[in-house]
Order: sequence, then C-alpha cells, then structure tokens
Amino acid sequence: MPAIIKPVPLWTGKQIMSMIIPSKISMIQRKDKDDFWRNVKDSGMIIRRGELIMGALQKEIVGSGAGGLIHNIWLDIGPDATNYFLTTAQRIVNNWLTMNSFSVGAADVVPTANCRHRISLERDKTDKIYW
Amino acid sequence: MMGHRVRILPYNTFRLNLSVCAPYNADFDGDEMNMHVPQNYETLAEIKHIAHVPRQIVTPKNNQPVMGMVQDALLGIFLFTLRETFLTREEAMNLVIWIDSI
Repeated sequence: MPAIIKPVPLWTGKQIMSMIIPSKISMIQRKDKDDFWRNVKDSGMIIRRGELIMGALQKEIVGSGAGGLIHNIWLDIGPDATNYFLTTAQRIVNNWLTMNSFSVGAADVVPTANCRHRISLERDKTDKIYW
Repeated sequence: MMGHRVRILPYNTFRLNLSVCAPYNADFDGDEMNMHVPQNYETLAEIKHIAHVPRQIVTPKNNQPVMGMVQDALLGIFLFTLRETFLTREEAMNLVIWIDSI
C-alpha cells in the first residue's frame, strides 16, 4: 500500500526497508526528549514489529556497534537473519543509488544564515566574558 | 581468518563485500591476502559452521558487532529512509525485485 495515494501513488524508502527488517524486531531510539511523540524533525527512530515507523536508519543504528539493529537481529534471531538483512539492504540501497544522484560537495557544508547568526551570538557571549 | 563462499570470477584479484573489511582490517592501499581451501570434510564443516562470515558478525572480544553497513550503503540507507524520499510505483517495484524470499 503506497504512503501517498493521490494524485500519484508514491511509496517511501521506509516502507521498502520495513520489508527486510525481521518482524520480531522492535526498538526505539530517543534523541529529542521533548517532542518524541510529536516529532516534526524525524529524529530518533522507532521500529515496531519490524516496521520502520519513524526516523532514518543512520550509523548508530545500522552500523556496527552495540545496541544497534544489527546487534538486535543477531541476538534475537541469529547469524543467517543478520546476513540476510545486511546483504539485502545493501543490494536495495545500491540499486536505489543507481537511480538517484547523491553527490556531496562543499556546498552541502556551507553554514546556514541561522548557523552563522548563532555562532556570532556565542562569540559575543565569550567576548563579553574575556574582554 | 574467516570462511567465505567462493565464486570464481575472471582475473586474480580477491573481491569482497566492503562490510567485511572491518574485521580483516583491510583497505585498498595494496593489501594482500591468502586463501586456504579445506581439504577434508571435518575442516569444511568447521569453516562452514564456525568460521563462516555471518557467524563472526559479533566478536567475542567486545561482544558487539564488528560488521555493519559502511560507505555508500550507509549514506544510501540514510538518504533512502528520510521522510521526504518517495518512490513511484515503477521505482518501488524495481527495488522490491532485489528482496530474496527468506
């Protein structure tokens, strides 16, 4: 079932990844304590019964490391399920990358106006203390 | 040492999944590797059931995984699972093709 039905049916990447997360797995990662249940930033992560409900899969979750998704699949199901998840996820993602560009450049790390403003505020604060 | 399933391909270079580079501490600045082929069934069984790569995902050293997603797959899975990533019917079906039935 697509996430958006009209005007054009569209699926999300979360839905595709949910297909290969074992249905036994449930886990939660909290990042913002304040607005976890009304999360507009899509931070943190919820997997409920193998369905990726909220948040993007990033390094702490899907990389090697204790308490991540890989670790949980290994502990709860086993080596073969972990192997299956890693293999299939890599295959899906690499095929997706062949149809979507993902180049990263210096333009992606230029500070935003808001960032520069906050830096100047912090600098004013320290200037007041030390000068 | 780890056990791999062998697939014979043209040329004399080992090709391996990038996820397996962490436990080998391997990189691509000129590393060399050796391969041993089991010569009897007992050895074969030990490699298949103890030394096989999926069995070594969690290391007994720290009791945590040593393999995970890396590099292009890691960046890709992050971008792929962002909330604003959408796929048309054709794109979604073309990706679903790659899922093996368990």
